[in-house]
Formats: sequence, C-alpha cells, structure tokens
Amino acid sequence: MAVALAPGPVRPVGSDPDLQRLRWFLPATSETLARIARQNGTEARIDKVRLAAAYLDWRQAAEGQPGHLAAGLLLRALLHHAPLRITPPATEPAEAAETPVRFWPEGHAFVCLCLEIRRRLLGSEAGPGPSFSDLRTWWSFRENVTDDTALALPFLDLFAGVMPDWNCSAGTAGTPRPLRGRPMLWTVPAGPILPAETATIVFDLATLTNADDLSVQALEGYLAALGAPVVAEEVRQRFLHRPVGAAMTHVAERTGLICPGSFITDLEARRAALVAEALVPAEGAAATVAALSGGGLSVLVVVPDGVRPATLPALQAHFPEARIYTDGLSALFETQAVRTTTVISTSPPVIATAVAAGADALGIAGETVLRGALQAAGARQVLPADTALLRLTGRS
Amino acid sequence: MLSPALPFKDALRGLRTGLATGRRMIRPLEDHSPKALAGLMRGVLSRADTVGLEVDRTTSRLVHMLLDRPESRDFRGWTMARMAVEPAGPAIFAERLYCGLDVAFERLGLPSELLSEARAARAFEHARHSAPEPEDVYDLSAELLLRADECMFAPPPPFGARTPTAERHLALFAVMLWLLAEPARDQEEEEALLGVCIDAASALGRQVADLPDDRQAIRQLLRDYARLI
Repeated sequence: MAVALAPGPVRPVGSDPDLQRLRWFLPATSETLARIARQNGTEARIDKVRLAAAYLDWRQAAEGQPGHLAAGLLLRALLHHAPLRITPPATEPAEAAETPVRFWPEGHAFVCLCLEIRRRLLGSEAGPGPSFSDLRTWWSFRENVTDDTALALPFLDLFAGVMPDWNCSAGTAGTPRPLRGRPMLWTVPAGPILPAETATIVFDLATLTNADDLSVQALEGYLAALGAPVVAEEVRQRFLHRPVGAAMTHVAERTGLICPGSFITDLEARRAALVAEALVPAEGAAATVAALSGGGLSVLVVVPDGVRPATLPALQAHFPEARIYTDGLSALFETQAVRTTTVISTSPPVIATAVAAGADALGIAGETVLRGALQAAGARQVLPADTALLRLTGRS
Repeated sequence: MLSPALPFKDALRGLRTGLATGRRMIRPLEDHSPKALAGLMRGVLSRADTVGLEVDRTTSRLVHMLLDRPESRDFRGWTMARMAVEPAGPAIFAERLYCGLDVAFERLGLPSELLSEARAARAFEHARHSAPEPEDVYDLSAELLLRADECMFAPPPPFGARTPTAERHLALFAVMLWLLAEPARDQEEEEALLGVCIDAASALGRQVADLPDDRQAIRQLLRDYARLI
C-alpha cells in the first residue's frame, strides 16, 4: 500500500496542512484516491461535491477528538457520502476477485487513505495489521458498515492492527455512544461454508420457516389478553429465544397480578394453533434442503415441543428430502454422530446445546442483538438472515 | 457617495443581457415558421446576431476598460472585514459579488441573472449601518444575503427566466463563503477558492437552499463553514 499525501508530521486535525481546510483537502485527497486507484490498475471517478460533503461532516464531528477517532470518523463520512466510483479493469484473472481491493475497491481506497491519515495524526508508522489483507475481514467490514457506518471506527482500528473497541463508536454528533453489543463479524467466505467433514445437517424449524414470527405473534396476542400488551417488535427483542419467565415477570409487573399457572401451556397452545394454521416455508428453504440432500448430506428438521402431530405431514410435504425430528436436540445427539453434525438455528439456547454436545453450530440472524447472542452462545458463524440459505449451498 | 459609473455599468449589462435573451428566445421560432417566411426570418436573425454580438463586445469592453479601476481585477486582500470598514467597500463588494455570482450561476447550471452593482453597493452601504448593527462579518454577510435576494437583482428581461429561490440561495451562500474565507495566496488560487466554495454550498444542499429568512441562523451557518474553507 503506497499512499502519499503531502509530507509533514503533523498531529492535530486542525494543523495538518492537507486537512485544515477544504481548499487543500479536496485536491490532496482527490489526487491520493486517484493514485491509489491507478496503482491497483483501476480508474477512479471522484465527485467533488460529495467529497466536500464528507469533509464538512467530518470536521464538524471530529472537533476535539483524538487522532485515531478522527481518522475513523473520516472513514465513516467517506462511506456515508460515497464520493468515489472505481471502474475495474475490463479483463483480469479470476483469482484477482478474491483480493480485498477487487472485493470492494472504493472501500479499500477509503481505508488506505484513512490509515495514512491515522498514521499522520498519531505521528506513528505502525500498521496496517494482518486483518488488512484478510478477505474475510473485508466481508465483515462491508456487511457491518452497510448496516451502521459508525462501525467504521472500530474497523479502522482493526485494519491498523490495533485491538478495536467494539462497544464504543462515534455517534452522529461526534460523541462516543455505546453500541447495543459487539457487532457480528461476518466471516463468510464466497464458497460453501459447511465443514468438509459434515455428514448431517440439522435445521431448527425457525431457520426454514416463519416459526419465529408465529412465536412472536402468539406471545403478543397472549400478553394483550392478559392486560400487558407489548408491540410485536418489542416482543421479538425482549422475549423471543429467552426464558419464558421474562414474559411472566412482565405480566406481573404490568398488571400487579400473578401470572396464571397455565401460562406456559396456554402460550404453547396458542403457538401450536398458529403453526398449524399459518406455518409457511421461508423463501428458498425447500430448494436449499433439496440441494443439501442431493449433495449427499443427511438433512433433519428439528421441531420444537408443542407442535401438533397433525402439522407434521404438511411439514414433511414442504421438505420431502428431510427427516422431521420431534424428540428434541438432546435426544438427537444420543443417536447421532455429533462430530460430523452441523446445527443451524436462530435460537441461542439451541446453539449452546449443540456446542455443548460437540457439534458444529451456525447461527442465522437479521439484527445486531441476536447476532451477538448467537455468537456468545458459541456459533462458529452467524449468517445474515436474508442470504443465509443461499450461502449454505454456495449459491451466493 | 456611490460612483455614478455603477448605474451606467448596469445599463450596459442590461442592454447586452436583454439582446442575448431576445435572440435566444426567437431562434427556435425559425424552425416553426411557414416556408415562405423562413428565409425572411433567417435574414432578420442573422442581422440581429451581427448587431447583438457587436453590442455584446462593445458593452463588455466599455464595462471592463472604461469603468473598472485598473487594480480592480485583483480582489485579494479585500475581505469582508476590510470591505465593512473602508469607504470603497460597497463598490468593491458589488464588483466581487457580481463576478462571484457570474461564476457560481454558470457552475451550478442556472439561468444567468443580472445583478445590479448599483443596487448591491447601495444595499451594502445600508447593511453595514442597519439596525441592529451587524455584530460581526458573519452577521453582516447574513444581512447581505437576505438583501441580495430581495433587492440586488435587476428585473429579468422580457422572456427571461428567473432562477428558483432555492438555487439562488445556493449561489449566494457560495459567494458569501468566498468573501468570508481566508484570502488566497495568488489570483489563480483565488479563482480555485471560489470553485471550492461552490462545491461546499452544493454539498450542504438543502440546508442552504432552504435557508430561512432568519439572520441569526444564516450567520451561524456562515460562521460554522467559512472557517473550514
């Protein structure tokens, strides 16, 4: 990586010749980004107005911040305003696509620029670290900053070879704010992600269907009936995949009454009724099961307690290649070769059970809090919900 | 006392702008005229072009050679702070504003509007003695921006279009930033600086385009961003 702004060992943002004013930042940064693109055999198109917007936002946010945070804030502003478009070469070897610079040329150029600025602001020659060359980190970086550009700050530390603080990034006002949890690092390679030794793949029902949505709907309805209503999104965040006691405590706090002794059975009955009426496979789920089974894997779908036996034939019809298993995961592991089994679930307790038994475990999550919980439970990877099923068969 | 040359300058520019606008408006009619009239129309347009271009050249030469002071093309050093206190301030301001807007309107792709230097100079004179008296150069610039929108532009010529208010705000804000920014080191850099100010105003987008008629709010925006230019 060769990046050269005008030389000068200057530390505070406000006294760096290239950073002090827009009139110098625009030409110096444009030239540097263009040079990075040329060095990588590509061509850069720079939108000066967007670059100016990034600079003005950054200076407002970076006021009084220390050097490493200021460089991260610049990366955030550049990612937000996207002033760069890079045209890749017309032809190049296929293996070139496996490098960070081809994976995300614009992001790569911004990181190169900000690492250089970081070094200058800190007066340090350190970096970049090993993560800078690791394609898996770049996957993770792109996925995460697309969700939340504030994560540019810890990621720049990671690329610089410094231990990032995932729990603190800069908010829009430029002041540190806590994150909801450690962001998920998407360590997902482009090809198939199942270990070579996997012979059996076990899907939790919710990974292939709308079962989680139905669980939320059942609990939402029941809480309302008990006089302690909670909107669906809050039910999902507070109670889904959590011990049922949390919901019971909520009812007691809200109504001042002790929960009915039949709370758990009533709730399960409501959920079973909804599953019987409204369970549908997720988009692409049947094709994924068929592809994995066709590829020589034994596929099981584990159904939670309380699902009515009458529902099972319909489920089997959705996934004819899979074995529908109703006795629970622990019982399964008594009969199954655990070391060659991969369990896939949206539920942290299920992941924890699989890992405790010695199985491989993958999580699926659509939002940050659940990602963190699945990872904390021991998931080897957590796949983004919208593309997880495709990735399992190497189709994305 | 304002220079008596300024109204003359405005009148010459008005004549030039009016003729140019008239020619632009009439030209498309040539294609839609009956065949019998088309030849006649072409002859009229050709003569109008000849006259128009001659007027354009002559008025431009008159404006620049006879009326501009020899040193007036080099604006460096004439910051808003200096213009605010020197007797020549209003005339210099008018000239800088005219030149800055000329570039800004073109860069932003807006229809050209004729700024009256006489009106601009008069507005500057009034603004620096307005009540309440401007607290600083940002306050003065905010007041001038509001007055510019109200009263510094000449009425458009017949068939001439007015620039939408939001886009005129962008151009005015860009030029005010230019007048407030730290002066450039040479003339070439000064012109580049105006370009940077236009980029900055465009970058601020709707925040500037939808400026309220609130002098304090505009003052704050100018103060926040001029120091970063």
